[in-house]
Amino acid sequence: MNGIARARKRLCLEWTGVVIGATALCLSVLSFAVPAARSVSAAFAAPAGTIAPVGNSVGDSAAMLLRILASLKFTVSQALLSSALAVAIGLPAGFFVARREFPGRRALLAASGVPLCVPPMIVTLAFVLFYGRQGTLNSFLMGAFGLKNPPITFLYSFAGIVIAHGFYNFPVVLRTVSQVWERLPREEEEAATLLGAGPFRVFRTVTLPRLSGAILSSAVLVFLYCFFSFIIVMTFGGIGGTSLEVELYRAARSSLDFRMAGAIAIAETVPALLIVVLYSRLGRRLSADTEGTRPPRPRRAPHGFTERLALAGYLAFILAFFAGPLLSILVRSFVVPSGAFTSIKGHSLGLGQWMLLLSRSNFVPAVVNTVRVAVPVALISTLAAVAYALAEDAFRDAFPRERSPLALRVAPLAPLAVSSVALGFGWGLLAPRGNAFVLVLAQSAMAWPFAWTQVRSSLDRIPQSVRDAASLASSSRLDAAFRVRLPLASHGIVSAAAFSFAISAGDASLPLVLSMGKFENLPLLLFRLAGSYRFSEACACAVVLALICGVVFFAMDSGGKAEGEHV
Amino acid sequence: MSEYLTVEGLAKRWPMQSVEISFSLAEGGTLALLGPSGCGKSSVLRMIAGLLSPDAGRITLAGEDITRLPPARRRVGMVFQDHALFDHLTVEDNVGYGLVSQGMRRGEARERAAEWLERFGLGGFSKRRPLTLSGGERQRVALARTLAVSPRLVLFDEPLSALDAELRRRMQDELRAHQRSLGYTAIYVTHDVAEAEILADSVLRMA
Repeated sequence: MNGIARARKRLCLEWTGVVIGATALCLSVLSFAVPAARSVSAAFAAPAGTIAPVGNSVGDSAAMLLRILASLKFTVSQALLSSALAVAIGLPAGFFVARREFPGRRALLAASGVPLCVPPMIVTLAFVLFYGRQGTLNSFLMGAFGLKNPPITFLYSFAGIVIAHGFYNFPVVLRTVSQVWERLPREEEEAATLLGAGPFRVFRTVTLPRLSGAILSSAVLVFLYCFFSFIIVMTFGGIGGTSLEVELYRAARSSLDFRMAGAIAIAETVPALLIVVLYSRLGRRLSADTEGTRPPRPRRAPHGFTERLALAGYLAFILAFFAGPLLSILVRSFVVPSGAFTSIKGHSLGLGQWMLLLSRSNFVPAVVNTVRVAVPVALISTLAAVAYALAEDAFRDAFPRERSPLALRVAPLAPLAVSSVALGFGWGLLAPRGNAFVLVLAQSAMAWPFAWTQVRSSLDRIPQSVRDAASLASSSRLDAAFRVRLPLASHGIVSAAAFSFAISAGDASLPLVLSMGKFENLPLLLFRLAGSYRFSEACACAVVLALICGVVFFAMDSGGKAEGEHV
Repeated sequence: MSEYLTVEGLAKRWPMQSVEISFSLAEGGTLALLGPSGCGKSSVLRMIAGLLSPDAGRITLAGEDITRLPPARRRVGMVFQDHALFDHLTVEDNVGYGLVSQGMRRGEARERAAEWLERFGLGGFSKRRPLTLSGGERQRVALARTLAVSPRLVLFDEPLSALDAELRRRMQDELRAHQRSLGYTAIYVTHDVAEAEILADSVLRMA
């Protein structure tokens, strides 16, 4: 084979890659756009299927609007307070992780993976076991102080939702803030100190403004997560009100009021889209804060009694209220209960619940189904993310300008503005009998913003000179992309696959919303076990699920720890 | 001496800055573009390489108008300030990268790369990764990678600025010696007057 033939063969292979990537991208976009449009259009359909304006009667419309507004108020307030709590817990963690060296630092840093690889279903279970009326904390307090009634009763209320969200999502703040904090230039703080500012004034006037981008960006992301939170709100939401997401689920699956469901889909998608645009803008500012090659500042041991005390207190707080609930799942999976819903006290430890779970006829199929869906989701969303990122680069090369158009930057994040319940509702209208294939498509649409962020941040870290050198020495732009840029971004691509896998494997919302018939995966099995108060067996199932998500996430993400990456 | 490279009215404008330049260079000749940071020296190199499209002007190389050609078809090589080695490839695959782009078999490209590495005093470095090399070694690998594809013109963008003073002096002599022995046509961008005078036959000052 001569040189020209070899170059042609390579080009042919590269174009095959382009076609595969473009197919995955089309699948992801259609899997998101078509059902999203269908769910929104349900608001405009009359029950008989004829087109009519929203609300056939003024009374109907007014009642519907009032209900939606009440849910919107509930959703926004809980999301705002949850974000504030996540920032309040995450900011000290960001400081200690970025600037201090202490035993347990790596473990605290590892917690940053929790919101990404521990499904909300598991967190819900953990909170029930730990903070529930008969949970670990109440059992301990009642035993220690001889109380007759459980003193902690906030769980099934608005406060319960906020606390669960705050603790679950504080690692998002920790991860983003610590990455910026550890790279802040020392000189500015030193200059302020030499000008007579005390530590608090230095923090308030120099450090905090530099961190504001990271804080705001992570808070907006936590807000979005909480805005669309489903399982946690559905479980802990009291009678005082509920979120748009839960209302949507009830309208779509219980009362079958599709017009109401469509109207809720609009009510939650429009503000979410604005938040996504805001997040995209903040993301650019955050990239500017973390870019460059400035190495992290050296960390030092905590000094002074006050600081050591503060650190010890903070770690104890995190251990008790964040690690405690998660660890209680592991402990509870080894507890053999005597009644349906009883506390740990007085029970024996053993492998009984594990044996029960493993011997279930639906356990192995649930594991197989989880992996069978998560692998193609990881593949499709990662390929789509790579294809989009390369298309974006080609666009930037063709039309060089300082900033890419807003639409180009927001488009890959758009699926974040549509909740999984709204997407599942749309899919349900398109394909009333859900199956594994529909689930793969729907989850690919949900996962690809996360995959794209990983791929994009990896590609963006390739120095301009290396991109230029590849352009000069390669036979075409495509050749440069396949032989230099993609291999250099391989860590990000692998991380993207890990993220997508973990998102799919841990997702209970879409399988619940889609009518999947007899299909069962681990999140559904866990949901059903917890729903029937088989808590110890549910815990064993949660451990298996967390292991599958966690092992894939940490194994694949460990090589690709990318600074500045965020979604 | 006939004009091998001609740059006529090459211009690029940005909101706060603009650059416009004309010059010519004979085959085998060397030119240094000298000027302070931000005066547009590197942009001129990037326009000649095809990495930045000019707003106006014309570039002719060996009688061919290359102004609108894509970078890969200009046969112009470039040595970057930070060397721009491909960290995912070994040293020999870095040097052989352009040869494989031209359709050469990987094995043959590696053999040719080994010859180039030998010539630059990097005989035992074939299987090493770029990240394990010192600044001077990276510089030599970058030069070998650029020259291996026999470019018609070699551009150097502040090639020695990342090196310490002593190594920098040594590399200046080395670069000059290589240019003389191999006879390639080169343009150097630098902000150091002494370096410009060592490396190049002629100096063009930019403001």
